[in-house]
Amino acid sequence: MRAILYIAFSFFRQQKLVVLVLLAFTLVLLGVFLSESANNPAKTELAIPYLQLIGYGIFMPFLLCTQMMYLERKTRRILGILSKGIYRWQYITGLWLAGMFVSATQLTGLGLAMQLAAVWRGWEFHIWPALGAAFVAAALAGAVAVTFGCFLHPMVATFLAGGLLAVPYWLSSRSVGGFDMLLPVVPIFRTIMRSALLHPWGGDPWLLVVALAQAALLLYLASLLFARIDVTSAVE
Amino acid sequence: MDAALSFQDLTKDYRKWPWSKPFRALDGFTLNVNRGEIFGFLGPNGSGKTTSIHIALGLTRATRGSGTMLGQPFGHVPTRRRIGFLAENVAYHHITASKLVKLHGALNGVPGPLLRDRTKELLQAVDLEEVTDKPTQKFSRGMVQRVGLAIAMINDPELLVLDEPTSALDPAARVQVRELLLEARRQGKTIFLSSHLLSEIELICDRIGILHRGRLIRLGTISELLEERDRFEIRARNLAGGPPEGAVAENGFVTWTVPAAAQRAAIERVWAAGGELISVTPSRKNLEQVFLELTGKDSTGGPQA
Ligand SMILES: Nc1ncnc2c1ncn2[C@@H]1O[C@H](COP(=O)(O)OP(=O)(O)O)[C@@H](O)[C@H]1O
Ligand SMILES: [Mg+2]
Repeated sequence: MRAILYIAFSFFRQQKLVVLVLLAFTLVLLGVFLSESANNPAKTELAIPYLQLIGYGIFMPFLLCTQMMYLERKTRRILGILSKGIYRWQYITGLWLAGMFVSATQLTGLGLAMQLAAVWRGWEFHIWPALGAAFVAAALAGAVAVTFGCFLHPMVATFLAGGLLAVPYWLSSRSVGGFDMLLPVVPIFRTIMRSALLHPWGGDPWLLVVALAQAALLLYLASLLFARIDVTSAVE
Repeated sequence: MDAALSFQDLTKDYRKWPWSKPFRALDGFTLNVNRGEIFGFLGPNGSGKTTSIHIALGLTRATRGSGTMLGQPFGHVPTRRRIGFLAENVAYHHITASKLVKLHGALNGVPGPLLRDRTKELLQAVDLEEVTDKPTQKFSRGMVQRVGLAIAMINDPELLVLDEPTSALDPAARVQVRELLLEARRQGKTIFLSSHLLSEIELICDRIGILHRGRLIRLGTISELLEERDRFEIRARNLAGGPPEGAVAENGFVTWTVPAAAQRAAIERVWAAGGELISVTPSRKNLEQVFLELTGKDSTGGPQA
């Protein structure tokens, strides 16, 4: 367990800049809304950019998880790490966890900012359950990304992982049955959009449970895959 | 006692795609490294040194064959905690030297307080105490290599596997590393040292193996490899009538080599010429000569890594 945390923190530290930029963006938006007391913006105006930032909270870890391994192999840092007394599955889990740290930091910062705006303006937002759902979506998206990112070039991995997340959603939107619970990143994000943080998050809690179970399964798969991979050369 | 490191009939084929034609980097490579020795793993570029080391550490898999490290099969995770490894091209990280050493130590299970002390000690030993809190990105290649050495020793390993550890170091640092390795041997550690720097190897290694095109073509102690039992070097001075054919005259001494059978005749000739015999020793080639003879001029075993 410790090894996983060391690896996760080491990856997370590398993404300092990404995290800071996202948090700064959140803060700037908050500043704009708090200072604009004169023309009194509507509640919905605040919710829309924050919904977008929730999207980043899911998309950023997805992107990072497809890329981090590639960079480690290219720089050969991975040789130093994997030559230690750690298992491949610990490395994979640590990498995914780093993505989750990025997501959690971003979503928490976002929640606090909205909470502050809500108190300041005397508005009511439904923030935390929606952010929790977003985090679960990020966990699943990150797991899909890691699975492809551990053996493919990030461009290919992003494309395939993105495709894999889009296909079940596309199928179920064409009323092909049985796909609405498969890799439900898009469905979860849509429930958040629909509630727009103005109403309580209205999604099915089962969706979250299923998503987490699928994330765990994917990480297990990725570990099996990664354990068989030569890490001594960069993927072309 | 069992070997510290043992490669058994390893073959490694690299292929770009599963269906493309394989390139054989290792070809039935077998070698046993004894506990407590400094073993010099020599070979021209591309001969497969790095590949065999990566297989031992479980970073890549052999196509065929197997091996053990400290008695456990390659890739056994708990065993890796007792190994120190320095990769050929040491990677740059974003964090400071001391954080980097601590991260690697922690991954090998070195407990907190001990880790702090050892990190400080080792960074001092490799002469980096003034830059322990500087990010390694700003380091020169030689400095990064020294951080890598500290990392390799942070867990007080029983076996050190070093892939060209001094390639980027200046002469003073090389001497320092040599001292470090000799000290490690005194403590009973085994050191597996890959290099193409022949002088290094000659100075500290107990045994040498020469790898060529993925095969071990020579194995032995330094003297076994360098001494020619059937030739002797004769050194003399004050020879009347000039030096014999093929001799080198230097500072008043004359030196030449003769086959064992001609040794007696040569000595008698020195005396007959009123000369003074200084020494008769087994003729010794330098490692470079042996290396070039064995691996030939065409020494690259395929495309360079
Ligand atoms: N990942 C790889 N893919 C394809 N060929 C490789 C790879 N790694 C090494 N090789 C080839 O294998 C041979 C042995 O390389 P290497 O083990 O690095 O030799 P050395 O360390 O002795 O210089 C070289 O010809 C090299 O080009
Ligand atoms: Mg090499």
